[in-house]
This record gives sequence, structure tokens and C-alpha cells, in this order.
Amino acid sequence: VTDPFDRLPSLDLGPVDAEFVDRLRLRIERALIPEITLSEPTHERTTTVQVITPYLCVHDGAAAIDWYRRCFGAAVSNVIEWEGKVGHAELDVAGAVFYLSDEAPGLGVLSPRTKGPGASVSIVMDVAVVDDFVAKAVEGGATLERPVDDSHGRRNGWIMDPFGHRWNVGTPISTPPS
Amino acid sequence: VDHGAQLVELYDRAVREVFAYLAPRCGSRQVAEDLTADTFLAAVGQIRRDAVDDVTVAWLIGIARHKLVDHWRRIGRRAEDTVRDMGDDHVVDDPWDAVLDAHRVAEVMGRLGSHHRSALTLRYVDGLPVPLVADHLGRTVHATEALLVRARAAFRLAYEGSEQ
Repeated sequence: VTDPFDRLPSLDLGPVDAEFVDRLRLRIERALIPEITLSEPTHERTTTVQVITPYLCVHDGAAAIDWYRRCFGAAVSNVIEWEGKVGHAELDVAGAVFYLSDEAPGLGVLSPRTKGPGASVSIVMDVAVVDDFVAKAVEGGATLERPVDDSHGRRNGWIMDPFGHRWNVGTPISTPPS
Repeated sequence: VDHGAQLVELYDRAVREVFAYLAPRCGSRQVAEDLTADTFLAAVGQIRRDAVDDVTVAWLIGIARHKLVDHWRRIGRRAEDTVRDMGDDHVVDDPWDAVLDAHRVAEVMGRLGSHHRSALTLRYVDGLPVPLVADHLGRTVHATEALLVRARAAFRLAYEGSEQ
């Protein structure tokens, strides 16, 4: 007598569902991603900055030089005239240097006014007293995009200047000596 | 060796084999999918604990077998077994000459107590030798032999009772 258990038949339920296979693959791939350990928030700078100098294009160079001088307290040097316009100028806000020029459409250099609204690049700058700095800029016609507050170890705010350039200005919050 | 990458590479073939292992044993596509997912996520856990020698289908089937037995243990604790364990005294393992029908086997297996079902599946579907069945069930070889005798009797009783 053969043992029926030795050939215990089982149901064929068909192949695995393709959608289930795809869903499970995603779960496995996610589960294999190493957990990210977030570092403690720090007030220290974590990047070492060389120097990147923004070269701003504006629709009215002369007006811009005047505005940055009055409202940012910029020292202006090395202004080069080119076909009756500002070909180049260097501005220095307490050691933070940026350049500017009028538009040069032949070179593809266009101002925010010509290109339309929205900033692709914002400029981050530390200043001595951010509340005063922002107040003066806004009084001079800058748009306050985000009021000054304390975040990320820095008292800072966001402004759009009248020439369409977007700035994040701030003052590091000094930590009490331990 | 990046075992995680090996698992991802093996996945398409392995998921079919693991499902094909589980589905006929648990008799339900839904349960088989759940246990397939449990199997692979447990595999990921072992890989992340660096507790893996070799990422193979055989290794995954081994995990699947554990998941299957665990599953029956869980539902065995939850549900009242519909076929009662008769105890050693009343059991005689008579010769039985029958050709079993797959649908009725599945139906009867589903009504057996989980320990009977586990023992019969490991021994007669997976074809494991009794000592390995004993390992999986956490019993001695002697206790497992006795369990198999009772499981066969319970199965036969239920199977014959399901006739007509």
C-alpha cells in the first residue's frame, strides 16, 4: 500500500500578481535605504566659504549704484562706463563685495525686470544689525519678503530690492559664553 | 559584499519562487502575498543586521517556511481548532490507500489544527526529514513523530468525513 501522504497534492493558485511584485519591490528598496542620522542643529557654519562674487545685472545701473549706496551703505569703486551705461561697478557692503552692470542683451545679460518675476538666485549676506539694515532697505523701496526673525542660529530676513534681486540678510546670534 | 544589492538583483526571480512556495501551502493568495512580503522584509532586516552569509532563493525559502509556521502558530492561538487533537491513546496509524484530491486536501488542511497542519506540511509537502520538522516546531524528535501520527489520523478522519 502506498502512503497517500507521500504524494500529498496541493492547489495551484497561479503565479504571483505583477502589481504585488512591483509594490513589494518598492518596499524592499525603501527598507534597504540606510537610516539617515540627523546631526544636532548647530550654530556653527558647516561650510567653508571661499568667495563667490555675485555679478548683478540691473535695468538702470546708475540708479542702482545710487540705491545700493544709500540703502545698503555700499562703497562704490571701479565704475566703468560703456556706451553711456554702467559697464561694470564694484560695490562693497562692509566687506561683502558684489559687482553690477547694466543690461547687455547682445551678451545675453538681462536684468530681472526684463526676464520677469521670480528669483533664480538669492544672495546671502551678513550685516552688522539686520533689523536696521532691513528697515532702511524697505524704506528705500525694497519689498519685505519675509520679516526678520531668529532661525537657523541667525537673525535674518528676506528682501527683494527695487532692481529685482533677492537678498537674505542676517546677523549671527551670538551664543552666550559658556 | 553588498547583500542589499544582491537581494534587489535576485528579487524578480525570488519573489516568484517564494510565492510559489507559500501559495499552495497556505491555500490563499492573500495570505501568501502577506507572508511573501514578511519574508522579504525579514530578509532585509537580516541584511541590515549583517546576519547573512549568502543571498539565495534557498535562504529566502527557509525564511518563508519560518513565516508560514509562525503564521499557523498565530492563527492556531486565535481560533478554536475545528478538528480536535485526539491524543495518543486513540490513534492507530492504519494503512490508508487513497488517491487524494487537491481541492479537498486544501479544504481539510484549512480545518486542521495549526500544529497538525504545520507538521503535515513540513513533512509531506516540503518533504523535510522528521528531525528538521522537529526543529521548526520546537519539539523533540519523539514528540514530533507522535504529533505526525496524530496529524495523519486527524487529516484522514477529516478527509473521509468530507466525502460526498
